[in-house]
Amino acid sequence: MQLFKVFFKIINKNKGQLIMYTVVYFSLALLMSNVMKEQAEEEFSGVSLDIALENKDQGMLGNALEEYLGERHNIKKMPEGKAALQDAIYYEEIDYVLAIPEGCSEKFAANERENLLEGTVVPGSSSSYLAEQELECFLKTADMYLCAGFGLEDAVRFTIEDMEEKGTVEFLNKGDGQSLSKGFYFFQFIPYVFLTMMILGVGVVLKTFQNKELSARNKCSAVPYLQQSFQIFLGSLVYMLAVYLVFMVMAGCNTGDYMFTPQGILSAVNALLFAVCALCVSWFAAQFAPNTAVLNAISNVFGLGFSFLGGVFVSLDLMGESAQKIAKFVPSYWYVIANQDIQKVAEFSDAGTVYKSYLMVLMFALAFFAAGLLAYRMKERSR
Amino acid sequence: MGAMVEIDNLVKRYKELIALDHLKLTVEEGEIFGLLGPNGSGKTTAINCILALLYFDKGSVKVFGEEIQPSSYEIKKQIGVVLQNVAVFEELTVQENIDYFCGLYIRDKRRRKQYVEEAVAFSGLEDFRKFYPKKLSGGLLRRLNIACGIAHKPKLIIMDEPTVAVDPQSRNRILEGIQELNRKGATVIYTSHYMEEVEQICSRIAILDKGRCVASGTSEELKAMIKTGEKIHMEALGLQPFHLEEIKELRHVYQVDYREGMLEVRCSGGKHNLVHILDYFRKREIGFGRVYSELPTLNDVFLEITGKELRDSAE
Repeated sequence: MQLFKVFFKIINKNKGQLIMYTVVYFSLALLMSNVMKEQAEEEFSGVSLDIALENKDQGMLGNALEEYLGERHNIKKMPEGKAALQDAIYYEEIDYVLAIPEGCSEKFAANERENLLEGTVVPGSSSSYLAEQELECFLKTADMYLCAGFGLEDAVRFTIEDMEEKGTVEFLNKGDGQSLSKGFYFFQFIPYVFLTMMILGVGVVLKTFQNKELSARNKCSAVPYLQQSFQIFLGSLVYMLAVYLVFMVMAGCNTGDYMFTPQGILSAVNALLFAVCALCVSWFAAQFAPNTAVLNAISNVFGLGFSFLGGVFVSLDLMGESAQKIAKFVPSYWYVIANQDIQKVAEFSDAGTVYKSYLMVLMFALAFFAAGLLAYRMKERSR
Repeated sequence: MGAMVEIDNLVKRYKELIALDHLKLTVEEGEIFGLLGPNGSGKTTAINCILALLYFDKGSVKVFGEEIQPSSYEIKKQIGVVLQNVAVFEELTVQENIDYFCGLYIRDKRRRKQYVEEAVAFSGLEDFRKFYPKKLSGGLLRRLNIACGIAHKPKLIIMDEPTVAVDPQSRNRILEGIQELNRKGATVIYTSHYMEEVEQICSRIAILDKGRCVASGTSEELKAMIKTGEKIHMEALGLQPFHLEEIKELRHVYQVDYREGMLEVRCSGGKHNLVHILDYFRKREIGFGRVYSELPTLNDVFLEITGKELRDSAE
């Protein structure tokens, strides 16, 4: 088993890089699965703006507006002078500028609406429009009370009471309508790390064994060629399973009981099939890289390319229709689809669509293996 | 002693190019057989056919009396290979590399360990066991390449230009090592385009040109095949064409060249050619400077047979 042993000696020589990827991935997966889960659960929160306010009115309406805005936003002192104000807007120290002119309350009570308030929006800032919207809402409500026959004092008081009412935000439809588990986020990023780990591990070893001189030297030896191929295949398989197990242990540590649910088991199978596919991709990549340095670059091309295109990093919902059509031609797309579908599954018998995606990933594995084999044969023949 | 390798009418084509053109060779047991020829003469192709690394178009290659095939693993067990380009793992140390290649032939761990130790000592790599190939000099790397090829103590060792780009000191060590292996009973096939090396260590030599064996035999036999028996060089100023004609008339002289004050006289056999020429110079009262005489080299053999210099065509 000389070739098998050397397989792992070469892996051992590259272990620094592989461990680095594992640690970085685990840290990121841990972070992402916790942070994104929290974000998904509490995705709505109010926004506080920085508003520069000058109340020259000091009347009922002016004071009520100051109080109303003060409760929701950060009120800042109006910068002195036009230049200072422009600077504050330019450097985004303030989101909105509001000047309440003298006699504003009287004008409002007298039903005069022209130039009631002097607001300045920051160009291109959505925050400014939010502030204007809130002011308009306040004034319209107060106006409604005035029209109903209330005096200014009552109208302003009732308006403030109304504005204190807070609405609750509930997501009726969040993407696919499912609450996504921690396991979903952990498994979502597996394609990137598996592709990279397989190409940097198995790909580099294959490239070494396929070196023209070493390959010729091995062929001259007394070890049958089939046995040599078997030893390298066995090494690749053991390496793939080792990487897979490490990540499953990590998944167990990160997601807890999830791994013992039908969803967890389906996710684990999904990851295993993708590991097989990544192994075949590494075999394919090794046939085209002229040396191991290029293989490092190729690992990024396949790892990042397949991940971005397949919806690993960017949700498929956010991708355009044509991008989604192209994505179907990469295995990571089917992995991601399976990962999403798994979240809807309660029992193994419900997982028909998941099995279909499994099959697609396996088909890709077969295609990459066959293409790699063809390239290998052609290369051998040219030698 | 029987034939270790028999090549009969071997033809190998690369599309339009004929790399081996009805090549015939026999390597006897116990000899160091040199394959001499310029780059592109077919030495490496012949070696690759002997090792069943290449399919050939016609002819046969027998090793230990049996036709060699890619699946002739019993035959391959007895063959040691040192390829032209260094074939070692960059990721393994010197000792690990030798152990790996030895392990391709020897399964028994204890015996393998002993063989690896012997190969390390043989190649003088004791102080570099833990070194990775990248840290070795060109000469040491070549020695490692040889150690990997001979560690399993094969009966037949095939070495394809093992001294290319090696410093003279390492080259001498390698050549001495090959002779030692031969003394211990190994038959060696040695290819090179360095005629001095081949002449120094090989008991029999085949000269290859354009895929054909143009001559074979011992160094002496090859030299006896050609007309040139001795070359005499003299520094002499002011020689006239009639002088050259007269020198050419001397006994055994068959070619005279005079360029930039240096006279080169080629003689075909005879014992006292230099004395005759010096007599002629004295009689004619022609002054001369340095005088030296040399016996024919393999380059002369190659030159006479193929009409071109081995040195020039090797570069």
